[in-house]
Amino acid sequence: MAIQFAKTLGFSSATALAMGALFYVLSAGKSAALAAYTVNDTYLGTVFVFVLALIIGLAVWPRVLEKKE
Amino acid sequence: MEDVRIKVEGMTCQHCQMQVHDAIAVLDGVTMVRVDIEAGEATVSYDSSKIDLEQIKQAVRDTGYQVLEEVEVCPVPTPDGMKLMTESLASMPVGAEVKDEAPPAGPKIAPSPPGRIETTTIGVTGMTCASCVQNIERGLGKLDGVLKVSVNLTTEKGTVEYDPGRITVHGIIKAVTDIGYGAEEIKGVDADREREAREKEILSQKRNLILALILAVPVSVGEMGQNIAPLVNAIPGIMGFLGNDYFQFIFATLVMLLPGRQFFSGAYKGLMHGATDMNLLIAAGTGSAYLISTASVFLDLGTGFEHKYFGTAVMLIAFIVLGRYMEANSRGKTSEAIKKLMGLQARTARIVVDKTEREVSIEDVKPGDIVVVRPGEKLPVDGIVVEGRSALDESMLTGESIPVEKNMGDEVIGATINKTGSFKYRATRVGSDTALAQIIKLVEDAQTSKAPIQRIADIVAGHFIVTVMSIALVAFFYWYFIGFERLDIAANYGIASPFLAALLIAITVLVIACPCAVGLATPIAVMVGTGKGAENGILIKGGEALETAQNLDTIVFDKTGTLTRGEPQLTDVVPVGGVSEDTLLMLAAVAEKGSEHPLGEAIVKGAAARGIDIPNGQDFNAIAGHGVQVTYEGSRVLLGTRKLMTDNGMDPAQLNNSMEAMENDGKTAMLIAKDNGIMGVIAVADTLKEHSAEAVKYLQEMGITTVMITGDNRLTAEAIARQVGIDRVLAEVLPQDKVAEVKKLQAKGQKVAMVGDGINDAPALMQADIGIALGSGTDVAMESAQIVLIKDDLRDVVSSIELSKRTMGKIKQGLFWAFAYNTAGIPIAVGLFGPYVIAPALAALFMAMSSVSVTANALLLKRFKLKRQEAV
Repeated sequence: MAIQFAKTLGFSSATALAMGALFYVLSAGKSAALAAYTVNDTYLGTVFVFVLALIIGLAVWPRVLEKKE
Repeated sequence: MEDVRIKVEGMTCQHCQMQVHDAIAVLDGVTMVRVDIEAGEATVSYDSSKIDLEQIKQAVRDTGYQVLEEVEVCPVPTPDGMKLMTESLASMPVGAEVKDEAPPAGPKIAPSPPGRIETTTIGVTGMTCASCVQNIERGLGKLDGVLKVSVNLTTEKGTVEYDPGRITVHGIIKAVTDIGYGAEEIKGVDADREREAREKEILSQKRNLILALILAVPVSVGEMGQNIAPLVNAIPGIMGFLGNDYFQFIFATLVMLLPGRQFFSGAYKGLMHGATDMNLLIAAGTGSAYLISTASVFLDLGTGFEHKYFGTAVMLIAFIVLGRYMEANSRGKTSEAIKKLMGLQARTARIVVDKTEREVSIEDVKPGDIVVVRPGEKLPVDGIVVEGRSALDESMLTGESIPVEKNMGDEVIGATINKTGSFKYRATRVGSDTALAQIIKLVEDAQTSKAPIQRIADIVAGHFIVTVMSIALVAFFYWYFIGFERLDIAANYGIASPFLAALLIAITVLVIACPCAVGLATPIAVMVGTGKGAENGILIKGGEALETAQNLDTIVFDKTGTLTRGEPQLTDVVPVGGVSEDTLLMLAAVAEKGSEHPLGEAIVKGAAARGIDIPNGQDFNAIAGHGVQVTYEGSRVLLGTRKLMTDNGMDPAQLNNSMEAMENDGKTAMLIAKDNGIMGVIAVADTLKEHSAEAVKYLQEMGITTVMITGDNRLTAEAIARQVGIDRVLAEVLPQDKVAEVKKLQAKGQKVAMVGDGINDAPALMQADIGIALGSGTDVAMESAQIVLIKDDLRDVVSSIELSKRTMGKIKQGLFWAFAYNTAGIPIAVGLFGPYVIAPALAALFMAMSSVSVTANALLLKRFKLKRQEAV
């Protein structure tokens, strides 16, 4: 049970980090080009994307891992 | 020295574990205690000469915990091996292995016999939508030893089939609580527990709603600010106060922590086990709005973050709590049928003990007790009348309003009301064996079962949450990177921050797309439909039967006992040669007096009904297959077939026409002769039940083909078929061939229902797509059927089909509207028709109303009227 949860958390965190990083890079690019996109927008957006992606990951990964097993 | 393992209920933490441990450990004579909080058990070694088991149990009870049952008493191993142990087979711990190897030293749990399956019903709390159902079913389905799971959102119950050798009920309950829901085993039918649970839920949501409104309205008003000028002008300074960031933060925090806590704790518990439900959507939506607003109160986030969204977050919570409150109220209404049935039960009984009447609790009545009932009283249990007579109002069970006469030897049913005279009866079925208890169990099982259509809805709803969250994420990306700039949100909508612009869209998506209405549509309609049936004596054993019944196109009726009364009655008396009808009937009755043959009984009853005195005959002689011979006042009397007469030298030709006419009408004609002279003919026949023809007519109007199946010869069968108006006759069918006939119809693609009452109908009832048994029939027939008609009225066959159609109609309407809300709501929320067409708080109101409207629509089924009620 604990191993399963650790795996899920690991995969979910990795997915969320990837999504967060993607958002951060894209947003940083926008921020450099447009004044309306502030650093705070980038940071807050990254956190939001990370959290939402983590939640999605925690819901999806157990099913994926279960199917693989 | 003895070792014992006892099951302790109520331990939730290490503190509880220590309390139980210490309470036992201090007892004189206890040598070892081990308390396992996971298994909810305490293992104790003790010296039985110093202390007994009851004292140990009492010590646990004294600490405030419940001792559920003695799980295992294990004698200390002797040098020559283990002694046999007495234990409950259901006590096997989760995951325990059963191996065919030598037992190890020390206590051991014996394996369950292979192939043994048990079923338990658990009450589940905390479910909010179809995803919860999926979460629990998936969680339990993964457990070793669990064979089948069915969880019902509306009844908040789950039925689990399991192998007690591999898992315990405790293990099942623990698995449910681990996912984040409340669970407890339900034993029997407990009206008070059900009512209390419902009331508790309604009260809890009512409190949450009041609190949410008190706290949310000022926050929302403060957020709206100058937009509500009249209020601002009426109370000077009010906006300054309500619009203050710190005031807004404090009130919003209270909303999040008090009425909103249920969403966050539910989402957290579920997420820890990979389970997603609507709590997660609400927590994500409201949490985001709250957190970003809080951050902008305490941190300088720069341009665009001046506006706070506390009002949005708290109104979201308030509307969703409003929806839950209304839903809890509606759910209470759906289970009214069960409540009504439970309420029928008498609380006490008056029984005869040592020749005196004594009032006892209904639980103390045992089979064989003599129960006394006075006019106006309710019968406490089922039984048989042994003294007196009366008329009973059985309407509560059969829907029939006319009281039914009961005489000595008649069966009476508990919960019916004695209308006129006092009488005594012997209790035959008590407790959970009574007809009422069986009906309640049947209805409960039906309401917990699922219609096949619901499984599809559950699966869709189960995947819906993740899909919605993914859509919200994609929408956030789009509105952040593309939409904000393209539509110039800052200039056109006054939101300067791209993050906030995209966040509002994402929150709206999360909130509007909760699939709670999808999950409610089917179970609520099934509950109301089966409940409505039960109130009127139509017991539908589950959602599957309800769904199948709507598609029936052929109904096969058994003849005897179903279309007909099953008891032949005297129909014709035709004397010849100047003999009177009464004399002829008297002679026939003399010949058949004492006969146990149904035809003979019909003649005797017919004579008695005409007030004819029936003297005794002598030298009774049954002539197999032909009739009887008896001596009366020195004369020989013959009663029987043509052949009996010709064998005795008489010519029945003069009565041939009459006999043939009777036989063409499906009657059995018998000649009577006295001293070698034929005196006349009498006929008996199985007559139609009162409403058979009417029921057949209704079915034909509905486009259903009616078929009669019987072992009778074609002539008799067709005569009955003509009277009842049946479309097709299957005559001379042996009982064992009824199944084959049903199969033949099914092979032609017809959806067949079989209506019967006898043991010989049971296989055909099982074979048919729907088996419909009459309550007056045998237990075997009722167990084999999916629909049982308590009242012996064939119009209820029509009502069952109509009820099924109406219920399925409500399910389809419910599912349509539920999916329509979501499918229409999501494109609007993501901004397909422009951003912010719908505000997040309004989205929450829409979502809440979708559940309420689906429930209210299903409740309209309560207005359904049965065919026999319409006729009245």
